[in-house]
Amino acid sequence: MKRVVCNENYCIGCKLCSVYCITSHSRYKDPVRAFKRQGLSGEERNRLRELGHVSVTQRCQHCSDPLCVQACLTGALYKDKDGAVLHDEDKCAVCGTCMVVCPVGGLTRNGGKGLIRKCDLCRDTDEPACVANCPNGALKVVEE
Amino acid sequence: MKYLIIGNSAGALGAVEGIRRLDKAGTITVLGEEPYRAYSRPMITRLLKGEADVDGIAMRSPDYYRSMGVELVTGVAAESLDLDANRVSATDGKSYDWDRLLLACGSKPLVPPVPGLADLPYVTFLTADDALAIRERVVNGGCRRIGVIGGGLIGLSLAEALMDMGAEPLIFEQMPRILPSIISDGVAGRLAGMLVDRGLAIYAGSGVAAVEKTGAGYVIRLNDGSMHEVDLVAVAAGVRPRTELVSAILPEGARYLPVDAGMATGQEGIYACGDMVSLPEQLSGTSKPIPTWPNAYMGGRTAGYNMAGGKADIRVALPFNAFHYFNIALATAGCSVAVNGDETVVWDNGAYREVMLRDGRISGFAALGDIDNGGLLSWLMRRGADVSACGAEIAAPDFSHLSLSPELRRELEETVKEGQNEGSGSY
Ligand SMILES: Cc1cc2nc3c(=O)[nH]c(=O)nc-3n(C[C@H](O)[C@H](O)[C@H](O)COP(=O)(O)OP(=O)(O)OC[C@H]3O[C@@H](n4cnc5c(N)ncnc54)[C@H](O)[C@@H]3O)c2cc1C
Repeated sequence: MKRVVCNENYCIGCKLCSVYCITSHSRYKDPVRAFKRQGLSGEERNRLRELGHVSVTQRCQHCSDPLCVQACLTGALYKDKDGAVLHDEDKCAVCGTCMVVCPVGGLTRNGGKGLIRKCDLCRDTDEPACVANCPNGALKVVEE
Repeated sequence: MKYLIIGNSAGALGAVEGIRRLDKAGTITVLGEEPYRAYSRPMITRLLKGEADVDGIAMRSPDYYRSMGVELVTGVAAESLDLDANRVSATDGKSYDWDRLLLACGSKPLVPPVPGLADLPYVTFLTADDALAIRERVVNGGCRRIGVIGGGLIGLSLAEALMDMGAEPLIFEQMPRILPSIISDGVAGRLAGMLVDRGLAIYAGSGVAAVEKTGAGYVIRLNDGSMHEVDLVAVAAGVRPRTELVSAILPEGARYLPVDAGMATGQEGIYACGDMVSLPEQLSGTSKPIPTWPNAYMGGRTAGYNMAGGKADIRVALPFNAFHYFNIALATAGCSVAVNGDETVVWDNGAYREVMLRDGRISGFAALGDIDNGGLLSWLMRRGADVSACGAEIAAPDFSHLSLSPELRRELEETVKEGQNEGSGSY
């Protein structure tokens, strides 16, 4: 399955991946309008981790047999035919059980907005937006 | 091969999916007492609030049973097991045979022996029909003040939904704190404060002494002498395993049906999972009930896989709970209330966290407000990793894999690469 991985030797913690993640999932596909008009701030599907000078971003790794899908209380998380782990927001109770079983922070929650988000590999486009817009080549798609 | 599954909920779905990993041809029959496709039990709040009907909270798509080759018989309960003939008789007057049997009967409400309670038309909150019945009483029956006996997960989820509907729930918890079985005084005190701020009435620390009828409603009298008038009484005092069907194989004095890590009961061809069983808990190895949705699903899947000839142990045999009621995030995992000898590492700065360590290994944690990265803690716990080198940082909300030793980081990467097939008997 495809997944996006981050090389911590190249990641500079700029969070452009988050900006383009949000943009790619917005109505207008434009960063300014995604944040200003649609108010999508805080809905990125990845997490930046930092320790001292090291930074790296985490996102869903589309496990072949994901615990999050097994633990999901509502059936909102599921594995698609092509192997991607997808999330049906209408069915989600936002309980966070998935977050408690995923070791890589593959699910993000915006508490204030009461929603869970996760990487869907930007499947409608050729390349995930985070990978396409990483200024330092830290992100790449791997397929095993 | 003929598979028979009794109960049509989390455990049953797991079993169907486990069986079909190995056996695409065998016949699977599911008997479900409730007249519905498997639905998300924790989502019955949506039924209560009128946000969805039972189809709207179904776990799987409408063609699920057909596409998985399952004969689903709903509205029918198994009544007695004939262990010699491998057959159950059911309330539809028919009998059903099995080569492999899964018991996934779940739980029923625990009704405490409070004087006066048994004679009242009290409600419970375990099933879709329960939720619809409460909705009727609130929307058309004029019930406004609702006494909820029990401050556990079920009581809190009921209270949240009632408040959303404009009703006025009052929680009565006999223990000194809410959610007494999954969080400590430290977490519960903070959570209760947040709930009270949101307008929830909580009376903790005094049991219900009696419930009496008054004019149109009821009076709930507590052991401390205080009296509370309500229009409706809801019992949310916990659950009991539904073992009535299996009394013949229940060990003397046991409340839960014990199974091994492969979910076998020890009776040839008979497996069980979910709320009705006790199973070897991963950290202690002792047999314990783990009455959570994920445990029922995973146990069902392990059982199904083994019923179809596989050999696997349940992947995760630990409790974990997470909720987001009243817009407050809480997550707990493992032994989330410190016991004797546990060291508790506390983070109290904005968010609140308690991480329990036993011999330098995580035995449980509770996170309030910010549960981000809880999954890393639970992975370390499942792994039995020595985290003593992490010090107090282990409880910080921004604790990440970057703080782990190179060996653990490599192992985490491997786990993900293997698609998370952790645990013995990968499948
Ligand atoms: C309101 C509420 C909120 C909850 N929230 C959470 C949560 O946030 N997180 C969490 O992890 N868990 C939660 N739970 C608990 C979770 O729902 C249970 O642990 C889980 O449903 C157990 O699954 P099960 O398959 O063992 O049994 P159940 O879901 O109890 O289902 C058993 C089914 O078997 C049927 N049955 C029983 N006997 C027979 C028979 N003889 N013949 C035919 N059918 C039979 C029953 O009618 C029932 O439909 C919640 C529960 C409730 C009620």
